[in-house]
Amino acid sequence: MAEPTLAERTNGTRPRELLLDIASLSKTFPGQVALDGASFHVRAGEVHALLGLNGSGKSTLIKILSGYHREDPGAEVRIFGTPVAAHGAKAAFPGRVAMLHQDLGLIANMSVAENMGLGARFVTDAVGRIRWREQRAVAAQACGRLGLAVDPRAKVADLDASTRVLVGMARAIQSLDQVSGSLVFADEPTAALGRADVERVFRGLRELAGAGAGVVVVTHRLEEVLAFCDSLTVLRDGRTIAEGPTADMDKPTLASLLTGRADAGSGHLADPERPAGAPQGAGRAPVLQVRSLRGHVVDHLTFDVAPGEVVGVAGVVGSGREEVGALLVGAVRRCRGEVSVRGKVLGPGRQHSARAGVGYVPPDRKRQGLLARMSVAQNVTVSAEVSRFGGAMLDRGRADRVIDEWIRRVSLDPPDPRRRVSLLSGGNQQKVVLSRWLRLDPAVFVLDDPMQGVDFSAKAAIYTIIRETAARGSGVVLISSDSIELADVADRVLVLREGRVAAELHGRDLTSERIIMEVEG
Amino acid sequence: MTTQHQQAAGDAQSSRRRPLGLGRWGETLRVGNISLVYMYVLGFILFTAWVPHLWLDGVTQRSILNISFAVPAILAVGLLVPLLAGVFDLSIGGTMESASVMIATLLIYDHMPLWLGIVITLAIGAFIGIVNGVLVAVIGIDSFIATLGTSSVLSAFAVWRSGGIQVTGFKPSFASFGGGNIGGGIQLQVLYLVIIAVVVWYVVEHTSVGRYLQATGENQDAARLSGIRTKRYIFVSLVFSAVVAAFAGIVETSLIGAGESNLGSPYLLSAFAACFLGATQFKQRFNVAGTVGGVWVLASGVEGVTLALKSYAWLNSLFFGVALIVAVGIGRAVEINNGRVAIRRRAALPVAGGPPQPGTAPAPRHAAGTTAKGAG
Repeated sequence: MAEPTLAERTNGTRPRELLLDIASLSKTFPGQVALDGASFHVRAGEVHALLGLNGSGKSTLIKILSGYHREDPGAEVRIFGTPVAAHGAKAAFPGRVAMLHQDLGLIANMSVAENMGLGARFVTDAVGRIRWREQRAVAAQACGRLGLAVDPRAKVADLDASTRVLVGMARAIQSLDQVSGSLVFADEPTAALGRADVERVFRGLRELAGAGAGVVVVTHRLEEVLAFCDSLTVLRDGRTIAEGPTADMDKPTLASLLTGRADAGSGHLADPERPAGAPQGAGRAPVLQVRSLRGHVVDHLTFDVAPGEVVGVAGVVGSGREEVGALLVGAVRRCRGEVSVRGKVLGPGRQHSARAGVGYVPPDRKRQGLLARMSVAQNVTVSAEVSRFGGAMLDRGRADRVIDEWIRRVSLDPPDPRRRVSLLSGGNQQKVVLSRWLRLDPAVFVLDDPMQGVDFSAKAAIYTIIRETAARGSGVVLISSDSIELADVADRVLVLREGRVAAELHGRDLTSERIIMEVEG
Repeated sequence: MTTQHQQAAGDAQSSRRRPLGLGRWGETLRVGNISLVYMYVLGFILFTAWVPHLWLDGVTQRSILNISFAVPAILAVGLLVPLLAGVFDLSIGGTMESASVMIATLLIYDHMPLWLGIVITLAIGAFIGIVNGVLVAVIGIDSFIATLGTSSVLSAFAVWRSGGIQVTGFKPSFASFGGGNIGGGIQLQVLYLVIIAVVVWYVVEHTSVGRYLQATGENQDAARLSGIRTKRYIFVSLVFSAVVAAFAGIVETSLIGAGESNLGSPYLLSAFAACFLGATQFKQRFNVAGTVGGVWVLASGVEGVTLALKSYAWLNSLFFGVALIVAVGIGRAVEINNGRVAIRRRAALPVAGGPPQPGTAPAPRHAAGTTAKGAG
């Protein structure tokens, strides 16, 4: 391998055992290249951060290693020095590879000891009765390996967020024969945690590395990566962009490695003539007015959106970003404050905002957006059926024309109105949900993380659709976890921290790096 | 590359929309799509061969229509509406019982005119539906639990109100409310069924309300976020099923000539069976034609088996259960298979030489494999 020098630099003179050695790893999905010859090296005794923005291929890499996807032929993979297929890693070394998935897989209503037993095997006596005392001891011991002291009888639901992650981790590693020399993967274990909690989780991971495991952590927390990880790998567009010790890195370098441009987010999709300093649409009567809006986390949120303007909302998980969309459209109760559309205050409940002309693309497409077993056509018209006599008779001819027009305008693929929507790709499903509102010419269009699970080619199309919608006079609110997306599409971005607007970026300041920096505070 | 891809997809799609020869009919006549019809044809041939003189008799077919088809079908069509909206109504049996006892006591003990008795009974049905609606849509209790509860309360009410005995002594004219001949030996109850079924069919398939109901049942969250007043639709659907159940109770009472406090439970099962059976037919969701057809096929099957094997008490339940599981099982198997075919087809699209085969023929198993090799 060409990289051994890396480890020498990281760990002084003595290179540690290379546990995972991946080169030219590719994965192609229909119409999309998720991994394109990526390489990835993990050594014993290190906490290794795997970084990348949405769509960079990092989740595909993890999914291959956990055996969920099969890599394309041609990859060179050695695990513990043995050449094996990457997707067979777990199966080939069941006692040496542990995997913690993002959702943890814990049953909230059961105790720590019970969850441990479910993860491996309960300690039972001859007639199959669970020996609880020993089961609890086993659980306590597994947690101890992460430096976690928790009562094994405690219900998982009663634990705080970081403890839950550590319990999930403990459960994942209990099947290991020994920690030393094992590979442990953690997929975004800190995604939903606050700063103090993140630190606690990383300390647990350090314990494992200290015991000689190679710990891979998928994350996007740059500060924590720099503070707690030994080395890192950055993926972008399916390729490995950087590998090396974290000691050589700083935050701005990392931010530009992630986004892939020195001048990241110069706003090529937004108005190219975007005047520095002055937000677009200023001076025109706002189509959306938000006044001291308050929810669970969001507090004192006040902003206007002018017709033709795309306002972005950024923030880490827990900053209130996830709540903003639902609060604006009234899908959850507003504790305080007002939202007005074209000067009229919205009542509570989604139906009022829908009637006032507020389109909404919810964040969880499967659960909140799609009528999965229904056709494309039915999914498009559900926002307001095309009918005669006030709903007494569906107007199929006109509905077909409307649907055909929108299938064409969003270039749906395949362009079949009768296809069951669940059979479309993620990007095309999202186009269907977009059309649902676009055809009604919404006064305000709230998009809540609309690019989740959307492939690259569809993304560009959707960005264009969003800009065009604004150009036709809608006020667009784009809530997103993707800084590049915000920098590219929005005219102005509100950065939320702890429920409040911590920064407002526009003009020259609106770059994806600035967003990443501001979001983390 | 992208445009080629889209082109290929477009071609495949249009060839799917304009199938050659029997393609479209093949789609319609798929075993999974209309397994009920095939079951009926098979059963018909079987019974014709087995007991020809009994089976091919107008009396037999009429008795299926009048005795074991119309009332269960009315009840099932009513139940279909809340099921479409995604909620259960387990109280329709109890509602039927309460309605039966109410109409009997109102007409016999209170000497009310027929029309007033019917109006009051239907109003009680509506009230039951409102209670269900409040429990499910307003308070937010799971519909399964809430209507199971009201069902039990209604049974209690029916027994209390009737004193636990059959309430008899109707004027002879009451029998013609459900059993009046409308020609050809077909009874008035069949006409009621036709009217109710046509109304529900029209609303479900041809009005905005029907679409919103379906959307609510398919994904309540998504429907609500699309601006649909999902709670309202759920509420109204429960009121509708209760009123229809009350009406079915009145008709059944007229047919048997007595107010019965325990006539509901077999109907509850058959209504659910018919709705779920029907949901595997024609549309891959609850629909009126499938439901009514389901009741007809089940009723015919029970009748045929009874004629062939003489009467056994356990026959009905056995036949019902087996028919339901087989029909729904076929539908499920076909759905799974369709999913696989669709996925394979989609995977094959970008690099496949020609458009995949249209219609029902599953893409050949090796297709996906060759494609993957081509890509790699």
